[in-house]
Amino acid sequence: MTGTRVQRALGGHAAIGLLVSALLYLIALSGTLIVVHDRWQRWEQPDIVETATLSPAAVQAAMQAALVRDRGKPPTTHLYIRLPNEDLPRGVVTTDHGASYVDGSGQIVGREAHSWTEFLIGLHEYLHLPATWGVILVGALGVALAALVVTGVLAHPRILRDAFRLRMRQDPQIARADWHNRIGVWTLPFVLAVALTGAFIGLGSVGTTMLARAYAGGKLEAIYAPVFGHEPAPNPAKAALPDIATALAAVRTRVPEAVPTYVIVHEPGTMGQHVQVIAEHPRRLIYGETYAFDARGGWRGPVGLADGAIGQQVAASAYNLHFGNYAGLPVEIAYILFGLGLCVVTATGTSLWLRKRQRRGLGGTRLTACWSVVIWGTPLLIVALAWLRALAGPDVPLATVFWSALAAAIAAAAARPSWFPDVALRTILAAALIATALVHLLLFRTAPGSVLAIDVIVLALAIAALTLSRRRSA
Amino acid sequence: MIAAALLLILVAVALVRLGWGGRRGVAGAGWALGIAALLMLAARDGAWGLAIGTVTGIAAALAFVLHAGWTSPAKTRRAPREAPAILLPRRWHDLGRRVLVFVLVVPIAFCAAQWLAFAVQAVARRAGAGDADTMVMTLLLQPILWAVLMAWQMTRAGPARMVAPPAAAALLGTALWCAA
Repeated sequence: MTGTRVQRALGGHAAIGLLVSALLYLIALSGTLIVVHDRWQRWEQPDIVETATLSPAAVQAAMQAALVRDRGKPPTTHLYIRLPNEDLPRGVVTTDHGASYVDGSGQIVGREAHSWTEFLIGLHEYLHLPATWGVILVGALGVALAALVVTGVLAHPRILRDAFRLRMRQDPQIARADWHNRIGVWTLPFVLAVALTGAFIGLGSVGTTMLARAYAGGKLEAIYAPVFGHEPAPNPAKAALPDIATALAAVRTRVPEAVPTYVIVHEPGTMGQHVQVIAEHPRRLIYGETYAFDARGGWRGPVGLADGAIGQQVAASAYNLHFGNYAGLPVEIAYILFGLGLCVVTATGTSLWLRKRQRRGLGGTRLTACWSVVIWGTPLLIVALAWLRALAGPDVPLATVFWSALAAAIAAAAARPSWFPDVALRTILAAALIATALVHLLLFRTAPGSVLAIDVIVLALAIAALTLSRRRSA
Repeated sequence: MIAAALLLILVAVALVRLGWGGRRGVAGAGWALGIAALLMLAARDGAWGLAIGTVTGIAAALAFVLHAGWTSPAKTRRAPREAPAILLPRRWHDLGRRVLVFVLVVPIAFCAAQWLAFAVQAVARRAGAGDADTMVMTLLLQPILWAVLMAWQMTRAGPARMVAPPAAAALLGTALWCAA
């Protein structure tokens, strides 16, 4: 790879892009969808009783109800109670043996069975690989994305001159290049932020393992403790359940501006049990502060994520900055649009390279068909899995079906490229989205407006895409 | 206050668009106004303010780009027949070269970045930084350093020249480790 700096940068950009583009596209697409994963969870299970709040007494009752539900099973090591909020106005109690929704009085009203939403989250966070390796791979892909940004800027000498040029009604190759460059340039701060925070989260286990070996005799908890707090030593001797209600009341009295989001009970029903309340702080990037309590609800104090060491605040901010859940629906919508932009940049990048090959007579029909399957077949499969989840129940192995079907479709595209024309795949996807939204809307027409809003938005977007596509090809 | 700062950011992006390709002073004023508004938000609401200001700015810029696309004239100009930036390997030698590049850019650069990040935290620890700060610094620095190394390597002409970036990082890491 010789030539000018720009040519070398373009070569490096293309090489990294071709290596990672398919996986990067899957992560970008699933990440875009799960910005509002709580809303998808409601959409997936729209007929669950909802509640705007859970009183401290109801939270206490929810804990007891979950332990009654688990009777006869090994004691749970942790118990989590998610408190309702605007995105998910449902209480959820989770133990080692499963998760259940609870109503306003803390009584169990149904199983948390959002396996399709969890499938999307798993695709984004670890590509359904064994968790540790998958998270590391996704973190490494975040680094590759950051390197793509750097080489992309170096390969783009006319970055300022072309800043607002989008020739989308010219030759498709010119339009593709403009989409790739313009969206890439203007979403650069967003892409760098999500790429590096994603890499921070994904590769964290490697760094902490190294630090643990160097400074703590291999004990990871000792490395995490200065940031996320210490875990008291367990004591398995039996004890009465902890007083969560008192702990929640203490948070409301001592930190009235904080909004509790989670209650975590460690080793419930043992002498070593203790309680943590995670509470959001308005107008902060941190996901929340963790307040620690003893079993009787006695105040032990905050961990320091809100106003402790800078490192603690930075670590606690990385998650919200990555997932876009720090300023309500407007920022979530912006993250979805920027995420779609990243999908466009990823898709057009490889398409540009494939088209250049074809125009130079280097072939590539099979590769182009495979790429079309990745770009349009993946969302189509995601829609198909929503149907499968609805028809066959939440215990269907969605990840296995997804990867098998995607591999089969790519193999079929390589064998018979003419079966997978771009336009047909796009049209089928739009039709599938319209059908799904319409059926959901009709079946669950009595569901809350914010659930049905998803159907209306999907419907509108699919119809608009179909109309624009037909107008362009006319 | 927040609304005013966000409005200023919208005005700033509009000025950048107005000055684009024409009056550079207007675009410069737009950039200056945007930075001032971001600083206002950061001063008032810290990282949260900076984040929502940046999101607003990106959204506004994308709106202008999409508008430019929507109003762009339809032409039949053909794109030039450029050569693809890289070619698929066709011989064993090419494939071996790609594997070598992969090894240099992925596992070797990863380890070099990890070592340098670890050494930097050791220096910070020696200088009195706390456990939380040094731990998070290590985790943040590693991907940043790896991305820089990756970009640096991938803009070199050939695998031989790709050795220098991770080697330099590893040497610097060793020097810092010894100094700590």
